[in-house]
Amino acid sequence: MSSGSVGDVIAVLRQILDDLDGAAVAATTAQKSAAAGTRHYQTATEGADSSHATAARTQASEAAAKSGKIARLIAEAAAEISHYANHIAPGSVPTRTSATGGMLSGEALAKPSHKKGSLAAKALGRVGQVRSSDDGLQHFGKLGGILQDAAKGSGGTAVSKTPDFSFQPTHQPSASVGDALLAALAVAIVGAKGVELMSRMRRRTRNDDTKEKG
Amino acid sequence: MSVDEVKSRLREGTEALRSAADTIHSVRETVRSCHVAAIAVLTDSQHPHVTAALSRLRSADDEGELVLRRIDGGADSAEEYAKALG
Amino acid sequence: MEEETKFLRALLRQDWETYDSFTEKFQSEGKGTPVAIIGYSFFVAVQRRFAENKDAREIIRFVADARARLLEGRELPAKEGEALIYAMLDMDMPGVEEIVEDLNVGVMAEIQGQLLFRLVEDAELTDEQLDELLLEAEALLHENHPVE
Repeated sequence: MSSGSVGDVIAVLRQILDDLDGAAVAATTAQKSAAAGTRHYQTATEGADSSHATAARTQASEAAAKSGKIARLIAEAAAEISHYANHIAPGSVPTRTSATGGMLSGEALAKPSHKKGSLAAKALGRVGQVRSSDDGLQHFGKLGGILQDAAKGSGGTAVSKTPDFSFQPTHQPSASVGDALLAALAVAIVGAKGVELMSRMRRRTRNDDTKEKG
Repeated sequence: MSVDEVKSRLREGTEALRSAADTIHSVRETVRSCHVAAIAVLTDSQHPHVTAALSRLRSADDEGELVLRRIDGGADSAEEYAKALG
Repeated sequence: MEEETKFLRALLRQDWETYDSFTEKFQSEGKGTPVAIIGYSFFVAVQRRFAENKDAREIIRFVADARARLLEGRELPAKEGEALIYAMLDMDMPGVEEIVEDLNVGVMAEIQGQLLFRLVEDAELTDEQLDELLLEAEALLHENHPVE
């Protein structure tokens, strides 16, 4: 896997900077909306002695302030990235001061803010939120089976190892004992999905024994 | 202001806040995807400019979360106040 | 390195003893397939291989090659395999968005896992390089989905 030329890196950084510029502008817009919302709440609740009224005004005001902070943080991040880009390739991007987030070109302002990376972010968002799927390791077991079969098919590395699919941490004496133990363990511990997983492993164990003898 | 005018004004406020929330939601997605892209392309991840940039992006994302919570909270409080008015 | 990451490492290194111990441990703890680290590792590997040159023909050829090397090529559906690679590269080809949204995450992990294995093998990564890839993926995962 190549690490990419500097030119390629700069191209990606430029795209990132474009997107961050758009995001900073958007955050400022959000700050203005939130500030307007705060003013509406203030007008509506003027003179009211109510904890709800106070909470509404306070939180709206904080939302506005934090939105402004977001715009600043994004601009600062963009400034740092632009400095780094010029570090690895002098003169490659216009440096920007963090205060203004750099001057937006006319083109950048005219472009509608599209979500870069939305496909990757969507896919990664789905798996990232779930973390682990609730499948009793069924999918991972299948993956293991596929890769083992593939390795054996091409005469790969698995041949030299003694495949040990026992659920005992120690050495497994023989296939028949192992099968009986697996069956007992399956019912006792892991339930239906685990039994399916171990059936696959048992099948592979028998195949391995056959192959090693042959 | 009459009760109706107050409620109407509160609604306007909530609408403005919801609009801000939508925008911040998009901003967070952009910040995250830029963060991911930056990490993927910047192998010299120990450089001060890089760590500073990534740290800012992380903070921006965190602040975004807080903004969304404040907006939810503020809108809920406004609604409670409106209900109490009858 | 988290347990899920080590589990994936064992799979990719074809270290079946370690793979089996982790299987036992995860089963007893009621933990399922670690789809997140698989997805993020797949993302990093795809970036390294294809980000510079987002050539659809290269990607199609890669997936076809990966399928050919499996005994049961039907475990790796070509269309979904290509779509998941396109998604990681933000190549908005027809049908990619639907697949990203609708595919079951467990099945997604299976496809990504197979392609990830092929990417790692093709690159002939040393153990250290593989660790580095997995740690980068883990870091990305934490950035985007901090554990509360």
